Amino acid sequence: MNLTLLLPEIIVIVGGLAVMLRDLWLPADRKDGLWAWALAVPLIALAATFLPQLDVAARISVDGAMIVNPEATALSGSFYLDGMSMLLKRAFCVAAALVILMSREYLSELNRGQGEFWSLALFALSGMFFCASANDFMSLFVALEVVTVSFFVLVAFKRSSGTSIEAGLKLLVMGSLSAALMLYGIAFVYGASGTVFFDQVVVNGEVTRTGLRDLLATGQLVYSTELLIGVMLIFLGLGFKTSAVPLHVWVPDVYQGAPTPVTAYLSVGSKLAGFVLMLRVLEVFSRSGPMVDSLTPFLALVAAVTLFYGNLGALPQSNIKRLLGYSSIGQCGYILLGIASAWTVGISGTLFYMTAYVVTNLAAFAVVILVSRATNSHEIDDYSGLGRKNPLLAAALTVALLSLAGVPPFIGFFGKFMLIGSTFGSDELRWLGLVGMVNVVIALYYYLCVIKRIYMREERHPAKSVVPLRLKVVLAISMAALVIGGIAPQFLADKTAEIAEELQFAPRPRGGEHR
Amino acid sequence: MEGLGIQLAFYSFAAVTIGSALLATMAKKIVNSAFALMATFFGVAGIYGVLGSDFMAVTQIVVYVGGILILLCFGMLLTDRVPDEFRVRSPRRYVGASIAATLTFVGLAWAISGTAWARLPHITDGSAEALPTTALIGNALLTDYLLPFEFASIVLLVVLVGAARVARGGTR
Amino acid sequence: METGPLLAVVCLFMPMLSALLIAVLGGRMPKICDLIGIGTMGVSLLCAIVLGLGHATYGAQTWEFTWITMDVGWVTSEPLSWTLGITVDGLTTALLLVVTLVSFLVHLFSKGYMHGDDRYVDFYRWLGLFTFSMLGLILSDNLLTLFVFWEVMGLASYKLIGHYFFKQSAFMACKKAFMTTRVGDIGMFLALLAIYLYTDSLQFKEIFANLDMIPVGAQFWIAMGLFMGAAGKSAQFPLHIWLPDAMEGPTPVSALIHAATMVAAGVYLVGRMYTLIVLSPGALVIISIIGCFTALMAASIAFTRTDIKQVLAYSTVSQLGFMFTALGVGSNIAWKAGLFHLATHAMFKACLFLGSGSVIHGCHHLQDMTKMGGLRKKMPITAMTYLVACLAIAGFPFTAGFWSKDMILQALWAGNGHFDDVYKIIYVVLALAAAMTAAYMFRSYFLTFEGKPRDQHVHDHAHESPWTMTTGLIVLATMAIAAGYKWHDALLPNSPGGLEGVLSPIATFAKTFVIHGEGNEVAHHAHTIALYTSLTVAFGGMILAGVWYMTAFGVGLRQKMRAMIGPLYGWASGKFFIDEFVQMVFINTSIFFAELTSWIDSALLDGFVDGTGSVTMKTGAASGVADDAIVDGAVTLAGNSAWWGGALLGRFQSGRIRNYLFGAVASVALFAVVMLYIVAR
Repeated sequence: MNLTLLLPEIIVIVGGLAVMLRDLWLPADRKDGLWAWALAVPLIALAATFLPQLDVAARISVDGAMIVNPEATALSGSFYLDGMSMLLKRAFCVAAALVILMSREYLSELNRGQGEFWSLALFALSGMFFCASANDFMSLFVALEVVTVSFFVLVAFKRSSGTSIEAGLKLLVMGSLSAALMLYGIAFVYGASGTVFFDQVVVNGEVTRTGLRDLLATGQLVYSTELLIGVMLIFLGLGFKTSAVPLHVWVPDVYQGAPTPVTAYLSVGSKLAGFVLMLRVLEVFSRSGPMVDSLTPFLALVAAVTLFYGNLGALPQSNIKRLLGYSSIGQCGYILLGIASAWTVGISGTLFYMTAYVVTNLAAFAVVILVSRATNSHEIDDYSGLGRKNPLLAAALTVALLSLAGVPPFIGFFGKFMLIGSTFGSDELRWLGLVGMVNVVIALYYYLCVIKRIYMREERHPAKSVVPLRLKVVLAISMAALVIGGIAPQFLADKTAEIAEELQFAPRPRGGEHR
Repeated sequence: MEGLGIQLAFYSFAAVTIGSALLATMAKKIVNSAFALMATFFGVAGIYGVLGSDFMAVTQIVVYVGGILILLCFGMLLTDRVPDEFRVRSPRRYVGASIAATLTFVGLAWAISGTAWARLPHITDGSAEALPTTALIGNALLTDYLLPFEFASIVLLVVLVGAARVARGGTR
Repeated sequence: METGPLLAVVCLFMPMLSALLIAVLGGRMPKICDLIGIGTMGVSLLCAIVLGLGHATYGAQTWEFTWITMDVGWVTSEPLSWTLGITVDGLTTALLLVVTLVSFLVHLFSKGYMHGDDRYVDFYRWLGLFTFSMLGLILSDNLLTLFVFWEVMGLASYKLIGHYFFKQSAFMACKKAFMTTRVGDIGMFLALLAIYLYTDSLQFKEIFANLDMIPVGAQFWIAMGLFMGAAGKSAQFPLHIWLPDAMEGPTPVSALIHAATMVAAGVYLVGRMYTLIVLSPGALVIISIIGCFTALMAASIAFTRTDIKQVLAYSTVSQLGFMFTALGVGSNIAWKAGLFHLATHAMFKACLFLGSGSVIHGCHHLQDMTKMGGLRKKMPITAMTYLVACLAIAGFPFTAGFWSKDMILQALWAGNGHFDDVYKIIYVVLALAAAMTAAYMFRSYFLTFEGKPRDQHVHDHAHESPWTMTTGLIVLATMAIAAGYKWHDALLPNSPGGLEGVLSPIATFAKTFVIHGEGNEVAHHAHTIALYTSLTVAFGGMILAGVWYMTAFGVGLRQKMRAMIGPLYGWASGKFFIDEFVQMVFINTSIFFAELTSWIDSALLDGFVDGTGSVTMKTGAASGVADDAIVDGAVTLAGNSAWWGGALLGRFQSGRIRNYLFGAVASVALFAVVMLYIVAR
């Protein structure tokens, strides 16, 4: 057991509690300064992830087979720190920090409850951290619930607004349904395997607890319908977080109704937490060939439907937050392409895209926050003439949307390239790559429609946006990441390729001829 | 003899569960639904007991009957107007719901019947027969399941904060 | 990074910086955007000059930047590597000099010409972006970024041509330019795909190293595809129709885009990909024929124009035809001649365009030459520079145009050993076109600057332009003479010389070609003949124009000749009705198909959908049991799951959580059953 590994998590939880307590002792007129405390927490946690003590080899080789290094686990194997969890934790830290910078303006409109907002945001962050490191189904479930429950409250945070409350309620109901489905799935898996742990625990050379990875590797656990249905239900439940069909219906309504900074947080944090768990579960079951063979068409089907749903649904939208909601469903479809392909390049692309998605989407939402503060509207028509009013803001939104659409030389392009490319390796998934390409074109249309309004329409709303320093920082960081990541993507691509290799997915596409 | 008794118990509890669940779904008055639900919870608790999960059975009764159901009743009392006919009765909803329910049932039945339960090693090795299970669960929670157990406290904290936030009166 | 590429990168990004700065500051400080533009272009020009002077040191230095290397098992077993870079060789340096010089002068000229324009700031911003994309196109060491810059340039030129977008004609013109060049781009894009398919790379270096991987049959089509793209950008028949219309843009834009830069891009592309194109003699001769035909056709149309800018536009089309004719020969000297003419033409044509701009500015936006005349006294500097440029384009001895045109004819006469008879015919036709060039250019000069004023009012109010405008004229007029001397020999050598990797593989892969160079017997012979021809046509054309337009005798002569050639004149003045042909055949046909599909969509598909809808309704009504559980249920089920089928029907989420839950549960169950079915199979 190695509790040092939990340092970032401990920092975030203690930080969340500290912010909550600090709020109680601050006089009402000085609560505005609380954001700096909240901001410090993800930054310190981010710094902590770079500690050398946390740099433990995730896998070790025993008798020629790569197995999980017990040194990289903690709390009886429930907590696992590998390259993927490290990358995602850093992404979560950046996301949380940027969201906290964005939220300050929104919160100043509220008289009370700042402390609650910040601490809930930080608790959600701790949940995402544990998601990234979850190594059994129970931790996975509890960690995910921390994220979900925090978001129930955050989404409904603006109590004076009916839409915010309604969005919170919708999230709550759909979230409960998905949690129930997932638990059902976990129960199935437990029923079929007798364990909810991913790894076995060995004491004095004797296995005291069995784990799925080892059961599958040794062939003690074989493919069964029940196991498959369980994993599928788990994926569907996780699909709620990642806004995959069929549990995606809440997305446009909640994105529209929630306070915009919360929407931004939801669209990156909660979504990535779902994806990282999908990757983890898939990785565990990728040791069984028949399981992967059965899961692949299922995930491909989900990916294709999600792509079409999100991108077609976005076409008629007139509200930018709703549009971004549909777009986020579409983006989820792309990431699912890589997960469905289930081999190194696909997983590497998935991780690349997830990281890129954080900065891209947050940049878009930062502009949405600023514009809506000036125009008091989320209608896309009110973005007309933004290019003249706020050229820099318009440029930032344009870059963010182009990156979402996958236009070079921005970072989103390489993500899409790797994801769609990965499906072309396997004969049975080639159709999915074509679906992805068709959807790139559809998506380009609605993103460009927004850009057209920004630059080619006369302004409807004369109010110019005033950009506070904090949001300038957000935009500067995200723009720098978008452009640098697009011009020099090698660093991130190498990193994700390394992680994908560590995760030990198939090194070659399944069923694909190697040309 | 013992096998027959257990089977008899199982089927009667199952009948109670399903029957009361149907009643809860079909009842015209919400109060009736709530009371039918109580029977369902008892039925499920009974099934837990039959399956040898004494702790789960007790928890089911304490939490669901003693907590959730009472909460439901409070909710009904505090809501201003609960229409007697709270359910929109329209045949088309039944059709839609029946299709969904049938699909779910078919899927589950398929999955469950398609698995050779009797051959799964962890079911046949007899490790699940120790009673009472309370000590086992307690041990497991503080060893193997330490992380989820501890982290559940954060869930509860978040729920408390959230409840305070959402329920708080006053402005904004 | 070595010095050469460093300079080139600075040179490249200065206009980009200008565009960005103007975009950021333009709203607040509209006054300084011209200074930003001129200043950054000045730096660019300096870099280009340093590069040119130090060519011996910097030449053939390249800089590569590996964008990303990825292991993608589905393409090759090697990691896929995307390398972008810039290359600094003779061709690049020569064109950098030309582009930055003209662009700098146009920036300067516009300060006077565009003064007081409502969209002054926008103008400078797009000018910056345009120059950036042109420089990027030249510096790219691969076809991928070249293509990207090619398209960005298309966008920038669209905005610049449509600067006066509130004028219907300008609006139509920019659309036409954009669409017509897109037609060419299709060919280019296909050629790019084919090249990538065969050689696994889009980098010039790699392509030329792997030329033997392109099958012989594909060589022709790739060459034609590239030429199609080039013909679109460089306005060759039949894609030339956009260029004369594009004169709707401000005149400095015409000088920049339609003289020196964008239209040169096509010639540059063919020149850059020459190693590949010379592999196919068939493609070469087609390029030559189209170029020659364009040269003659445009020259004859130019005779009939009275708008000074239209004359220059057709003259540009015609001169670009000269360049392609030369490039179509496929020998080293031809390559050099084509690109040399590109450089010299950029100088004198930019001078002519800016001169016409100065005239238009001086005459308060009058463009009709028949209302001018005698302006030399009012605008001496403009007239002198215009005359020098006219001499150069006519090929008067010792001007830049003389050397380059002479070289073109020389290359044509020498041929390449494949279709020499055809090239001889082309030689004669091109000589005729050259004579016509001299004639119509002097026609425009005489009509504008000499003779008696034909409109006294215009004449009285005409004035010389400010220094910002005349400076450019003087510099360009000087260059119209100076550009013919020595510098090009250093940058554009006869033999592969400074172009290692560009031309040398010709020797290996096109062994059948006789490489005609200086000192060779045939070339020497060709040189003499070409010299006499070009002298004859230059003087012949000039004298003809003098007789026609400056003497009393000429008026009668013109009428007689017009009667003599009869309908030919009418055709030429109707621009050979190519626009009408395109309108009728291509545009009307597409509109017809669009309407047809739209009709199919509305009449058939909608009818079908409506029909099914009404059938359902009627069935429901006919059954007479409105409450019938089945029909009603089915209809509402569709309503309940509207969020599901809604993606296609345009009816999206209902917002009702009850429906969401129902949909979620139902579809999860559906997913599960479908998956189980698939698995069980």
